[in-house]
This record gives sequence, structure tokens and C-alpha cells, in this order.
Amino acid sequence: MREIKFIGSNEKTLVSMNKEYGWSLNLKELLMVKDYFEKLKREPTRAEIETIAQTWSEHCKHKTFSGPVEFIWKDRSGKIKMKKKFDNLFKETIVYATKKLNKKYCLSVFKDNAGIIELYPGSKWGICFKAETHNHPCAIEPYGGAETGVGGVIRDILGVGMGAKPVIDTDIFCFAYPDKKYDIGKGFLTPHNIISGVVSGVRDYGNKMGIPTANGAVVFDDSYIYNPLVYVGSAGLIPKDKINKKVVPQSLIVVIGGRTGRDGIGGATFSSADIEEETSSSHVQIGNAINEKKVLDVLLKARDMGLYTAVTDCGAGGFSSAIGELASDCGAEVWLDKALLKDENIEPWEIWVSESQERMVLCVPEKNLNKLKEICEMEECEFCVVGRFTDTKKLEVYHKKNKIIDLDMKFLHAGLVQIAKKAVYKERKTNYNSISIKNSEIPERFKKIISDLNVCSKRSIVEQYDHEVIGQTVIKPFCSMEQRVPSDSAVIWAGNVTGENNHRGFAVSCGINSRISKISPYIMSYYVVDEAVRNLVCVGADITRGAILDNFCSANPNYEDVMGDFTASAISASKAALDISMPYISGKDSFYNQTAVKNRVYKIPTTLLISAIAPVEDVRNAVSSDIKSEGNPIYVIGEFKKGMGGSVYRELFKGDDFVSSIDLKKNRKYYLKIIESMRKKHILSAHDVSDGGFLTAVLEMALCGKGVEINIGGIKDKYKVSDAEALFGECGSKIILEVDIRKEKEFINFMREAPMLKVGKVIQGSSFILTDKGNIVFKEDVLKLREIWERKII
Amino acid sequence: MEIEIITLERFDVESENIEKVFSDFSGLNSKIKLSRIYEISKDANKDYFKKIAEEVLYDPVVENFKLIGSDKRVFPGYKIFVKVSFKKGVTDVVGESVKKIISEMGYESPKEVKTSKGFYFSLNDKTEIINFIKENYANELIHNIIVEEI
Amino acid sequence: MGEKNNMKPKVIVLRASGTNCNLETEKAFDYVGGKVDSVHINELVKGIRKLSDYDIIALPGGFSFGDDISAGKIFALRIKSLKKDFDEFVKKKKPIIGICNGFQVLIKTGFLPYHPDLKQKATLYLNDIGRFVCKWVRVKINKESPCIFTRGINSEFYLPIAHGEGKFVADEKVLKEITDKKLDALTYMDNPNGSYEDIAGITNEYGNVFGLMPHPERAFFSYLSPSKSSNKTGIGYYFFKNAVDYVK
Repeated sequence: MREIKFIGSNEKTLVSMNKEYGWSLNLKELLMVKDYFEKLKREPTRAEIETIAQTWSEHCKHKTFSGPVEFIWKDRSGKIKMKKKFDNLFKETIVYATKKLNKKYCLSVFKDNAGIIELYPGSKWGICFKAETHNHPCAIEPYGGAETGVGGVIRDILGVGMGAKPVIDTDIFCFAYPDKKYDIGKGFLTPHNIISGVVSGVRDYGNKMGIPTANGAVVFDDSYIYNPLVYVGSAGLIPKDKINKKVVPQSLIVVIGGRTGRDGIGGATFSSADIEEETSSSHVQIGNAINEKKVLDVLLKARDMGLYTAVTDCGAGGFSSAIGELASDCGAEVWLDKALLKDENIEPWEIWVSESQERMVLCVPEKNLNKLKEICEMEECEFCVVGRFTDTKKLEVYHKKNKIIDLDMKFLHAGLVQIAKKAVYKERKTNYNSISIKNSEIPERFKKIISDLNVCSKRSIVEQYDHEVIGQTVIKPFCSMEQRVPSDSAVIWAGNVTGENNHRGFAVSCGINSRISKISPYIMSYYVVDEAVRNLVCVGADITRGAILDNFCSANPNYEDVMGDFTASAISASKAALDISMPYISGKDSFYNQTAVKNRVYKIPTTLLISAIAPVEDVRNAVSSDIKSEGNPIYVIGEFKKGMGGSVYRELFKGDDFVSSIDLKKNRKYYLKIIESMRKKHILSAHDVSDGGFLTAVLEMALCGKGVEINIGGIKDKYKVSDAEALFGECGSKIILEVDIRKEKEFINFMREAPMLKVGKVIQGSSFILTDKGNIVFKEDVLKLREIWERKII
Repeated sequence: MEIEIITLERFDVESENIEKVFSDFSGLNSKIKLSRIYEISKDANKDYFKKIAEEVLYDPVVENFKLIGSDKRVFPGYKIFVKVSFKKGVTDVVGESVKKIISEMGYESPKEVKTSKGFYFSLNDKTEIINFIKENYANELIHNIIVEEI
Repeated sequence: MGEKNNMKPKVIVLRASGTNCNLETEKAFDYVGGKVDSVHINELVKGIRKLSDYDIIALPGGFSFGDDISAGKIFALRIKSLKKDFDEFVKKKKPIIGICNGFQVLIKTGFLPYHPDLKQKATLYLNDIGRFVCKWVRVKINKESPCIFTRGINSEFYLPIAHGEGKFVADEKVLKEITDKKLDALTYMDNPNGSYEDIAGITNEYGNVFGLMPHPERAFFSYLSPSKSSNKTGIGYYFFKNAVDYVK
């Protein structure tokens, strides 16, 4: 048993020991530990400190987001506009919104491994949803990092309640441009290297698990050059009567799945450290999807046979977190020498904190052990009994005859008093500047926009993911028989899994925007909540029974401007949820996404991913984005607004940074109208306006080879915007609809209170025609434009 | 003993594809041949390894295999050979799978099975080749890259 | 096939570690009136279940054993001891369908293209594009093939594929035999992987063994198609219905 010297050590010694061992504890925390052991009159063991470091780490405790913040908002002239002190930022923003909305269809929020909502009113099933990031591992080993990221979020679904069956995965990436030459310096990977590794990792793991990867996004921005962001999500179905778990003292602690090795030693604390130019390879985790698939098969079988009473996944911190959490209210006795090992060369404390993949921890009443063993043997899934839950309220860990951990659960899971973080948000100066564009410039600029990586087809990536497995994917990443038109949300039927004889299902979408964030993180958050919900509206999902997830990525929160942007972002995200009436059911944050290279610090802009999920009453009626028939009129619902801020156009050509504000309370009214109009079968296809602007969105709908004629004269007249704003602006919340000509009168009457404008029609052939009050501004063959848009990314 | 599996020339689209990627990446041309290598740690005669190669590892329709023991590696027409394998301590998932199936097939279990990727280049430019491999096929955090002149 | 009258045809859907299309394949057979058992190969190898108790064998898609070594290879090796039982099933003219990974297994155990020596005569190799592809592709049914699964199905339609090793390769002699005897029951109209003779699926001379790379179970209902129609059933339905009708 190794000893570490805390008793009598001065602050300097504690801090240097902290750095040497990589615990990432702050001084206050180190002193708390010193105090605890001085009272016990003994030194802590290595295992005990590693356990404390993992349990109290940023990754596990979310100390920054759930901690106190002193927030100041300064306007453009530097004057203080607002001051607020938060005791727990997360609780007072995200959780506050959910509590206030108090939606009864939310079955479980902010506890357990994922949030859960009802599949439909009165349903016996719930849908659970979770999203996570795996940024730092992907920056240094993209393939392994992506694989294990996917494995990790899937395990969260496996570990929700008594176990859920994952039925869809999502992937959202933020990379730098693979086709740009950056001077990145030694030891860093090129964007191309990172992108191919990440895409392949997500592909191999997700495909092998047999879960369709059917929704996501890819964002390209120079800011992510050293810090790519890799968000992975998973949603699952769980019977309502399997949502509660209970740890029963005297039951056995059983681990199923992979063996334990030295993978990722120190992973949770690693993610709290900025990436420096040297990182040791024991932080790298390796995935084995087939092991996790075996775990999935065993788990669902054992769940339905009632063989265990609680389950959780081994993620960051390994056994120390998983067993520590499960036993937090009662206590546990662990025998580490009983764990199955990959390699005998491993210290006992390393077994305890190892982050080897594909392991789940179960609470199994002794009488069920043999039956569980049988199932594991049949499925060729390894398992071992590593201890017993007790009622001692202590965590006691042994390796053979040595006791290497003896800690009070209360101390271990103590509420940590954090020092309030200083957060200063400075509004950026953005002026409105109306820019003009000549008609003759439109065709070339449009072609440049649609070939930009942020607008073009993501098919070369998405096609690598099996999005059909389980046989429930109704709206796929691409619509139309030839799968040419990008969809807005995935729609998943639930019938194969629930066995119910109905057509109930759900839709999954996302919202993310780095360009607006660089202008204003506050506006960005509000916009991305809207984008995720708007995407759900496009398929006709029931947003009155939906939910969202928040996943924040930020740089080092000890910088007051970074913390300021983050806090403003959280405040805005909260307001957005309340305004659009969609509760948060789960969320996560990832800090320290920044890198120091040659005396310069590269920070990412605050990047918020909103994932959204909502029930679909009848998947057969879900609306896809591909234009259906000649003769149908095309309408836009939602105002065209001033400003080129946040648009791809502005990145490529000239433009202002002005981003018009939107009002989600107003938007919600017409979103509900659109959904109802879809129920009445007025609407044949729908697509929202986002990257690239309005003209791009219309083209996307026609990519299945249909002809369209669009007139922007009406847009400019009604909304008083310029040509550039009408065609390429990305402000506002607009949805393009193809209306069934036979129901046009009904539609107009039904939607009359919404901001509505007829902008064109579907024509014969495959010409894409833009007119301005009768003059043809632009005419091109859709198939030629499609060739430009369908460029390969990797 | 190293069992090296190579795709027969007329079926080897994969090597053709990587020749193109290499020329796009480096601006240089080279004939390239890929191989899959299984290193089986076992004290046994050639027959043992031959049987395993035939029954378990290679595809009789489109592939060929070579047993490379202590003999020097040869491949006429190619000048540089790069071998990418996992570093010690990194789990070799396929290697473990192969070890398991060998004993399930009724053969004596080897001590260990390690997998590697082999790349033969006709071009004699070590620097360009190593850059290419590092960008597309290997990450030095988890892989060992061995370069041989042959 | 014997007096079945009111008895449902018994279907065994075989799986191993990494098989993951079994649920929808089981549901498909169940929907068309089969009595389905989901069975792990360990149960067969240990003798807990017997192939001879069943009327239809289905080998569904997935990544059995991670596609380690090559797709379907380890699964094929693991059922080596059952080759005789499989062969009896074939000789009794009972239906066997191998979908995607299942097709790869049938190829690597030598059951397709079928020769009495049960030696591997063809392979399903890495796609020409060098990676996994998931999309719906146009396929065509060979109306002259003896395949019982494709009887009476509309000649041209779309089916989804999802594979990294789907390129059908065989030597000239084997290919000629297949095309001459009309055993290429299903071919690609837009070849997505480089398969020789555009082969998407083949059958044996009697027509009771069928292996295909596309996934009919994923096209079972019309609302699963990327293009919505008002038909209730999707094209995939008929593949399963044919098997069950043949048994009855």
C-alpha cells in the first residue's frame, strides 16, 4: 500500500504534488483532504486520492456550471448593464426553465444517466435521450476518441433506469477546414487527419452496435483548429416500469463486459487540463464495439427477467465513479483482485480508476447470480463479481488482503464549496450596414456558397453510417428515392422495439451555430434552441410534448471573458426554453477547449449544441423535405429580417455582423400552426432556412431533380430587406413549405395570422429559376447545381 | 511467425486506391501494395502456421499468403516497407479475436497474436512515405511505425 | 412440404455476437405468419436446439464477431461443426435466406454458390469505394431464376444496402455457371460496390437457398422507403411471404 504525504504538508507541497500526479484539484479541495486525513490521523493512500480526484473532477461534478458565478454584463460602451450573483448557475438557468415549465410528460430529468419523456400520452414506453462530448481524446487520437465517445453515450442509455434499448445515435462535429493550409506546429494533427479519424470512429462503433446514426451536423470554422468538438448523442426506448432503480444492501456488485486495463488512467481529470504539447498515451482509450453489443444483449435479457435491481455504466473514473455513485446512499465493499484484467501489469489503484471501455456495473441479488451467469455464457459476455453493497455508509476497497480505500461516502460525495467564478460579458459592437449585390454577381456567389463546406452535402460522411438498422428509420438523413435532399430531423418509428401495433414514433433534430457565437454567444444560444425546434416542426413532430438537451463547450472558465460568454449563453438558453416552452431534460458541459501554441492561446467560441426530441403521432404522416409535384405553390412562413450577421455569405464576401433578434414566443405560435396544417394535409414538403440562406434552402428541396421558380420581388416588398438579405441572409426563423395546390385556399385561410408569403412554385422540368418581378435573374439546371453541392468532403 | 496476407493483383482495388491518395497527397507516384499481417507467437513447425493461414486467415478466392519467419522480407519491384502495429499496452482487438478462434478451431492456442498493416512502396523516399503514413494510417500515440529498406 | 394446414412455419433466426439485424428480421417473419425462434449459434453448437426442427433458416445482417479477419469469416468457422446439418436442410429443399452478413456467412461456408464439396467458391470482398456505404439502390429480379424468395416480385425496385464488404467476386468459370443457370437472382442496376456481373444476390439450383447483400427487412413497410407511397406493404414484405407460403 503506497502512501502519499498530506499530514503536515504546506500549501506549496500540496500544489506541487497535485501537479505531479495530475489530480487537477484546487487548493481549497487539497486542504479539505488534508483536514479529513489529519482528523483520521493517517495518510491517504494513492487509491484514495485518485478516487477523490475523480469524484470531485470537473467532468464528474461539473463544478464550474453547478458552482457560484459573479456575473457582470457590460454594454457596447463598457457600461455595466447588469450584475447578478448565481449560487449554482446550472440550477438557476437550465434547471430553472424545466422546473418552471413543469411538463407532466417528462418522466425523469437531470438525474440518472439520461432524461426521459413519454413516447405518447398514456404510453407504456418512455424515450430517453443523452448527448456528450469527447473533445480532448479526439484531438489527440481521433479514431479511438470518436469510437469511445460513441461507446460512452450509448452506455449512458444502457445505464438509464434499469436499461434502455438505444434506437438512434446522433453526431455533431466542429472542425477546422480540411482543405485549408494551417501552420499548426509540431505534434498536432491536421484537420483532415482529425476529420477522417473521427468520422471513421463514429462509423465503426455505431455500425457495429447496430444503432442507426441518423441525425447530426458538421460545422467548419478556423477556431476549432486545435480543439475539434465531437458531440455524440443517443436516444433509447425504455418501458415505463423499468425507469426506477434501487441499490439493495447485501446484493452483489457485478461487472459485465470488457476487462480492465490501463486505458485512460486519469481521463476525468485529463479533460480538465488544457492540451499541452506533450500528452502521455495512457490517456488514450481503445474501443471494442462487439463487447458493448454483447453487454447490450445480456442487459436487456437480464432486465426483462428481473435479475438485477440497479445498473450504471463505467465511464469517466471507471469503477470509482460507477460503484461510488451506486453506493453513495448505502456503502460498498469491493474486492479489486476479483476484477477480470487485460494485463496483470496493473496497480490496484489503477484497476479502481481505469476507464477501460464497455463495462457496466449491476446490483445483483445473490439468488439471481447463476441465471445471470448462464446468460453471459450464452452471449459470450464476460462478467465478474467484484464486491457487495453494504449499509455501512462507507466505501471500503480491498485488493487481496490489503485495504486500499476506506472513505466515508458522505465525505466523498460532499458538497464542495467552490470559489465563485468571475464572469464578465461584453456586448460586441455590431453595426447594421445594408450591402448590395448586383444581379450579375448572384449566380457565381450562389455557386460559391453551395460549395462551401458549411453548406454543401455531407453525404460523403453520412453515407458511411448505417442509418437503417433496426428497420425503424422513416425519415432518413436524405429524402427522396435517390436520397438527394437533406432532411431536417430524423423520424424513428418505435414499433419493432415496442411490439405495439401502431405507428407511433419520435423525431430527433439539432441546432448549432459557431458563426453567430463569434458575434454574440447570447444571441447564438437563443438562435440554436430555435433552430433545433424549427427542425422538428419541419417533419411535423409534436413540439408541445418535446424536450431539449444542452451541451455547452467552452474554453478555460478561469478567464473572466470566457466565463462571461458562457454565463450569458446559459442565461439565454434558459430564456429560449421558456419562450418556446420546451424543457431541458439533460445536459452537459465541456470546458478547457483551448490550446497554447508558441505563446498564443487558441480558444474556441462558446459552442452550444441543442438536441431536440419530440413524439410523432403517426410516422406515416411525417413530412419530408423533398419537393413532390409540379404545379404546387411554395410559401415561406416566418419573417425575412435585416442583417447578414452569422451568414455564410458574410464569411465569403462582404457583409455586416448584424444579427436581427427573434422572438421564440411568436415563433411558437406559427410553428404550431404549421404542424396543424400538416395534420390537415395541406403541406407536402417542408424545409427550414439555415446555412446558406433562403435560396440554398429552396435548392436543397429541389435536389431530387425538380424544377422551381422563385420570385424575390415579393420578399423585398413585404419585409423591406435587400437582395442579399432575402437570398442569403440567415437571420430570422423561416420555414419553406410546398403546399398541395388542391388545398391552397384552405391553407391560406388557416395560416392567415402567421407571417406568410407565397414565393414561387414547382415547375415542369428541372430548371432552378430566380426572378425579380418578372425579370429572370438566374436560371440553371438543378442537376448542374447538385453536382456543385455534392462535392466530397473526405 | 508472421503470416502475411496479400490480395491477388487483379482483385486489389484497395492498393490502387491508396496509390491515388498517395499521389494526391505527396505529388509523387509510387506503386503501392497493402498487406495484412498476423504475428503468431508460438513454438511450432511451419505446418501449424500454414494450416492456420489456410483455414482461418486468408480468403482462397482472392488472396495469397506468405509465411515470414526469420527470413528477410522480399518483394521484387518494391523498395520500402512500412509496418504499422499497435504499441505495447494498446489492446489489439482483432489479434485477440484471432487467438480465440484458433483455439476454438481445435489448434493449440498461441501465446499471443498481433496484427499489423503492411505497406510496400516502389518509391524510395522515406520522408514522404512516413509523412503520408502518419497523416492517414498511423497515430504515434498508439502505433509503432517501422520502416525497412527491402 | 407436408401437411401443415393450421401450423405456422417454424423459422430459426440465427445470431452470434455482433449480429444486429435480427430483431427486424424476426419481426418480418412473424408478420407474414411464421413462428419465430431467435437462436444464438451456441445453442445449436451445444445441441440445445436442432436445425432439423425448423422449416426456414434465416441468417440476418450485422457485424458478427466484429467482421474480424473478414466479414462473416469467424461465424462461418464457428458453424463448421454444423455443416452437415445445414447441408441436410438444403437437400430437404427447405428455405434458407442469408441477408448481408448472412450472405457473407453462406459464401464463406461454401453453401453459395452451392457445390456438393461445400468449398468456398466465391467471396464478398471490400467495396471498390473502399468503405462502408448505406443507401437505397435500384435492383432487378431475374425472372428466370429458380429462387423461391423472389417469385412473383415486380422486376425493378429499390432496396437498401449497408455494407463495407459487398463486392461479389468469383473466377470466370464460377461466374459463367451462375449466369448460365440463372442463379443470379438479384442484380444491381447501379452497381454500388463493383460486384462482378452486378450480382446482388444468388441462389442454388433448386432455388431454396438465397443470399443477398440488400436488406429486404428494412423495406418491409412502405413508410420505410425514402419515397412515400400509399401502399401498405413495402417491397421487402414479399421476400418473406414467399418463404412462408412455400413452406405451407
